[in-house]
Amino acid sequence: MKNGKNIIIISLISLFIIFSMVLIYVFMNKYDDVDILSVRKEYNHIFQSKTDTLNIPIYIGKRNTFLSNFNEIESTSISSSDYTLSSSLEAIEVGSTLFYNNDKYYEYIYHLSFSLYDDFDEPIFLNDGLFNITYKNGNKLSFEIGNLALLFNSHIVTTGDMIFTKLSALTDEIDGIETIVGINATIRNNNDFNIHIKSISLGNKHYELDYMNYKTNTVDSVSDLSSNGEEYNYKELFIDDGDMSLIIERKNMINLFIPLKYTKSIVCVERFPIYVTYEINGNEMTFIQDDFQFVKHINDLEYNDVKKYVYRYN
Amino acid sequence: MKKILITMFLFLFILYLSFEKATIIEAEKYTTFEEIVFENDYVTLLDTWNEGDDEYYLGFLNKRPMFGWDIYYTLRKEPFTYIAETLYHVKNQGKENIQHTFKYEESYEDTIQRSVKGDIKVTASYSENSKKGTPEFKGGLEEKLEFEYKQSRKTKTTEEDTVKIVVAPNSELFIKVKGKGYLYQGVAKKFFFFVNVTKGGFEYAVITTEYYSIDMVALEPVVDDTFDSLDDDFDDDFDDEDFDYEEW
Repeated sequence: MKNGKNIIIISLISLFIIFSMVLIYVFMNKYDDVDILSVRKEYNHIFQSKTDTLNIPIYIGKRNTFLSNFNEIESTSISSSDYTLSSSLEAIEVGSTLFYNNDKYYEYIYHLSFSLYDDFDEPIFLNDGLFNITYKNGNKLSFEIGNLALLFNSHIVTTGDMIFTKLSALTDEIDGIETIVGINATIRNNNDFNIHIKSISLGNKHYELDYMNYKTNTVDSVSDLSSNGEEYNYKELFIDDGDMSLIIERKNMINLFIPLKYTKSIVCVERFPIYVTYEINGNEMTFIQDDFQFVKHINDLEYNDVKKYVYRYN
Repeated sequence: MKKILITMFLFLFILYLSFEKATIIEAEKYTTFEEIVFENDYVTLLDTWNEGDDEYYLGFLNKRPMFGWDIYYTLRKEPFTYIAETLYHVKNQGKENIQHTFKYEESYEDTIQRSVKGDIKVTASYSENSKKGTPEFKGGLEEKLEFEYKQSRKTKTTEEDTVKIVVAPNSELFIKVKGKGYLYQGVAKKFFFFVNVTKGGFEYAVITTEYYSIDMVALEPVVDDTFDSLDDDFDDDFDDEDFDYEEW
């Protein structure tokens, strides 16, 4: 009888110890530091309506924290030393599970929309941009996300004068970074008048289409860019205010290769719009090709500059 | 005693088999790419192995572990480029430009795609909320492979990402996808109490980069078949393949 009593007491004590350990483990785990990664990327986008969103990936070392909980977020914005643009958080999309330096991270893609899309004719350039999140618990976190060239304009209309019938990018590895080094484009003149193209630009201050050095044929291989066996220089951008002096005759088309050169450091460029300024029948016009994703590296963490943050619970 | 041991072994074996339940899926998308080109000429896909190749490579496996897998890689991290099937296609049969909103979607379900030969299988495990399962090599092989790919594995997301493209009159727009990645290939045997229960070949492709391009071509002129009966007379004089419909 006494033996039976002892067994019950020992069992209860064991259960209590196990329960306490589980509680401590859960509590400790919940309030452990959380590692967070952001990626410095190149964002070149046109926003024509509230449905166009800027999608920013953030990688969090734990699931189900308040950091990625839509209902815990009070407000969001993006900013640089010159601008702060408030944004609406439309959704947080759960992405993949990825590894970085052998640590597991969960990808969360924050979809942001903006409401100031009627006000600008030229892209706003946010150098060294930050993604800022204010949480309902009072926490304010900022993540480095790279450089952003954003055009807000809901009145972009197609003139119908010209059209890109072919568009693709040529890529190369420069300084260990695989990035775009030029675009191949076929432009068709739909009109009954000749079109005089004056410039072709992608509206970014850190890299630009070197339109004065275009070729009137497409380029399929990087080796075709080199002359006399010398390495092609991607870094000396010559931006000229002069005209491109390229005429596309009526109802005709032209194949082009336009090099993309870098004014600062080499960065991984994947997507951008194209702005074509041209003259037709005495009028100067602009044709804008919406931002096209030329290249997509599947894992941002492998191809871009990654910033690590540690969130500590108070 | 011997009978008890045999009974126990059989019981465990049946128990082991019962844990292997999962939906078996066919080979994944990379095997159906329009074109796949390997940097090194000696690389061929698993499904082009000749009869006896798998037995030859299985001969390199000489361990006999009590449990688990013995693996031999025939290829590791072989670079390739590919042309996928057209991602998007739209026709404009009208007489005016139309602005089309193209919604980006990754062309892959999972950046890691698998093929198998012999007894090895690929299965898809389904979560409650997902109609599409996550494919994996069956029977614990997934965890045993040297998955450098863990660093770059990514499943498809549903990004609400769009781009507006003008489509010319009487033309069709194609958004084409090329890409690059790496291929891994090998053979494996699985043991249960020193008994070989599964053997075969495995292969996985890791997609690392995608390249998108716009390609717009003129629609083929509509052929009036009123004079079908007369066509035969002209067939010898006019070879349709010589006519380049892509010329504007």
